[in-house]
Amino acid sequence: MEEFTADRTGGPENLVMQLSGSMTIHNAVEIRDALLEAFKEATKLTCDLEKVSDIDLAGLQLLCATHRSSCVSGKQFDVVGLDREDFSKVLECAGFARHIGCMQNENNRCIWVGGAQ
Amino acid sequence: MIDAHRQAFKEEAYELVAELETSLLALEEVPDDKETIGRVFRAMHTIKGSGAMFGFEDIAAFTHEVETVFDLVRNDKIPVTKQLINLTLSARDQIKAMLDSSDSGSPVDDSAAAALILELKKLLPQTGEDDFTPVSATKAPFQPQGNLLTYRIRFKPAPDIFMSGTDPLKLIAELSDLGACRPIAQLSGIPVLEEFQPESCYVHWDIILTTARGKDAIEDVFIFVADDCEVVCDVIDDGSIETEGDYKKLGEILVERGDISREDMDKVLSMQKRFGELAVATGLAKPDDVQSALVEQQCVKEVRQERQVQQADSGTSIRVPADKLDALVNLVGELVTVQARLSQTAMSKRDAELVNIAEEVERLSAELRDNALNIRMLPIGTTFSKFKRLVRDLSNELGKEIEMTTEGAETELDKTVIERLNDPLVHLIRNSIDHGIESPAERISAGKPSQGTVHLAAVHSGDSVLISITDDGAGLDRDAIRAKAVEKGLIQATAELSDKEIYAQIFAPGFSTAKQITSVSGRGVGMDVVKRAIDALRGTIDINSTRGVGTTITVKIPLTLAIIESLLVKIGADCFVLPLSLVNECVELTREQVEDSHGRNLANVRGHLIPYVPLREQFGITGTPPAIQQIVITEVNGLRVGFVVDNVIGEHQTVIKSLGRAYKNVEGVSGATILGDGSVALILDIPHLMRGAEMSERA
Repeated sequence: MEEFTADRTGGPENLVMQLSGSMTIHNAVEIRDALLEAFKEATKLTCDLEKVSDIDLAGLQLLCATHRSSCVSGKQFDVVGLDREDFSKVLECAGFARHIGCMQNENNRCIWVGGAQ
Repeated sequence: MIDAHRQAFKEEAYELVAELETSLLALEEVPDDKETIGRVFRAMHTIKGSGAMFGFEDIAAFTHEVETVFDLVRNDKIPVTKQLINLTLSARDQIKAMLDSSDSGSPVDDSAAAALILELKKLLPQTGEDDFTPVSATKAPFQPQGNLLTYRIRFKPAPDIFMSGTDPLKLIAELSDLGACRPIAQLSGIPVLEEFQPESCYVHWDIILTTARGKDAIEDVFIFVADDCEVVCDVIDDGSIETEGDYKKLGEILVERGDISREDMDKVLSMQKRFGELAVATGLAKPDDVQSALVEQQCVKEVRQERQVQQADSGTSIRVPADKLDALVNLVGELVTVQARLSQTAMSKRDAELVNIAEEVERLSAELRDNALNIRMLPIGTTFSKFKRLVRDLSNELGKEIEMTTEGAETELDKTVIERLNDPLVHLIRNSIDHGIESPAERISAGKPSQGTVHLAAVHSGDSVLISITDDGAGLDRDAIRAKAVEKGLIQATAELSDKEIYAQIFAPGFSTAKQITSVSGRGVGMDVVKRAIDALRGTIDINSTRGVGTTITVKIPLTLAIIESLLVKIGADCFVLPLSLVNECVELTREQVEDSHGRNLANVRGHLIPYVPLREQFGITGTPPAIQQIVITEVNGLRVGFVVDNVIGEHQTVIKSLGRAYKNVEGVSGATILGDGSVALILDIPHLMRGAEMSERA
């Protein structure tokens, strides 16, 4: 099990977090804390998943929850690096890809719309 | 036995190859159409599968390579590009060549196949060139072991399911091993990050699963988590084909699941918008529910469609060799002839009972005739789709942008007619593309869109089919055609001719106004061949053209070659038959009129002078004509010519018999038929007789 780490770059207006390691149930607590911590100060957060080794339902749930928080608090949350073959398999299997976004956010925007963007 | 199977495979493969071409061309137009990509993939998958089964290993191996690429396309790994379509079309041609060569025994050029595969491989993503696995897990092909049922599984794991070491995704993955599986996660339970318990599961699923393995197999998957999870499993499609019920509407699915009430659904429906959007907008249903219901609808639709296709393949149609059908139609022809004799005999015997029977036989044989002819009817669409490829390849070759549109592809025509129509139509389309449609630059300077259009349309008109080829190109150059025709001595320099008569000159042998000969057309062979082929089908060609706007060529073809509606006429003791489709009207010709015309064969019909051919002289029939003869006025390609006969007997259902080999070169006669009394009547070849009359006039 690879350890989860989050490297932050950029200021609070445009914080980029390079995640790496395993985004699974085993690291769920660490991931949540890292995300909460980052959003405390940042108004715009971008998570780069390029170096993430694997992801499971717990990881996906967390991304979804983060997005929801950002919608509630009017902040911006983006995910990049989801566009990977192994991730799309997980997304497909988990049935996360969809056409209509969730209701909580502006313009029905959703990180899962159109599959993994 | 083996050979029979191989033959069956080949027949199927040819169909699939044709389907492949159609789908690829459709895909070129709408590159991201999932359904079309699926069609391409399935066609190749079937060729590969059955190819390997019947010992066509080379085809199977080659097709596998192409299929692999399309699997990636299907999974959105590589985009549909023009290059991909080009390569796949070439690959299709290669498969077809392999099929062709399996008969002759001479192997096809392997290097071409290898080169194609190499090119295709270049399109693959650079990473992992060799380790991609075709067919993703969720769509894994499975062997049906019974009736395919579609289930809706609502899977709601306990929040603490992670604590027991169970990964819900693993369970879903297990489900997808059972069959085609479409999970939809319901995410609305996920809270904001601040309230998020990292080790809880907030998601539940609606899973649509199509499997033959039965409900037990599904329940087995959840056996270890049954206590902690809520699993509801319903059959939503039971595999029967009751078409009245179609697939369920989105609203019905939501109501059935209890997500909304029927009143709510009706309320939403009354707003007359897309239900899903409205249900979400009005807050009656959660987006997740709608999403999931949409997937369910889609799944059931797909499953049913597939089943219907299979049914159509196996249950509702059988393959019959064409010559068996031809034999049937021949026999029906004989029967119709004998029936006519029976009716005639019954009438002359004045036996009421016999007349009754004869009428019954007449009714039945008419029905039998229509049915037998109907069996040989094919939609012309198959030919149309072949032309799509032709247009595509030619326009590439000539550097023109041309789109082909079709209309009336479902129009049915006799199989033999369709086959014999292919070459003339190819020629006409080539002409439209080469001579008709201008280069993009010319088009833009003429104020037209750079893309030209060739429109192919088929429509029924009485007992004929009209096929028109319309281009929006430059149109025919009336003066150039006229000048050329004068130069060739086809018409007099001073002749007053209508546009149609001038356009008709392009059907003269060796006629071409093209200044430059291209590989496509312009050698002056062609239009006369087209005309001969259409004549042989007893059809006609009509040209309409406006300079700078475009040309429409309309081919009129009889529905069938076996039996025609005709006009029965009599000269002396002999009967003759004229195809009714060419007959305009009949007028009387009195002896005085003949004397008044001073030896010129012209009749005045309501102010128009119409030339006529006295058939009695033409065929050297002895005896004197009656005082009042009849002129049957026919029209071919806008030209009206009368044929003088003694008597017009009336309409006649003519079963066409070809003349024996000895009479093959007899001019002016295209066949024969047997009349009710057993005598033979010759079928007149009207276009030929017209040309003959024209020639002798000029001489």
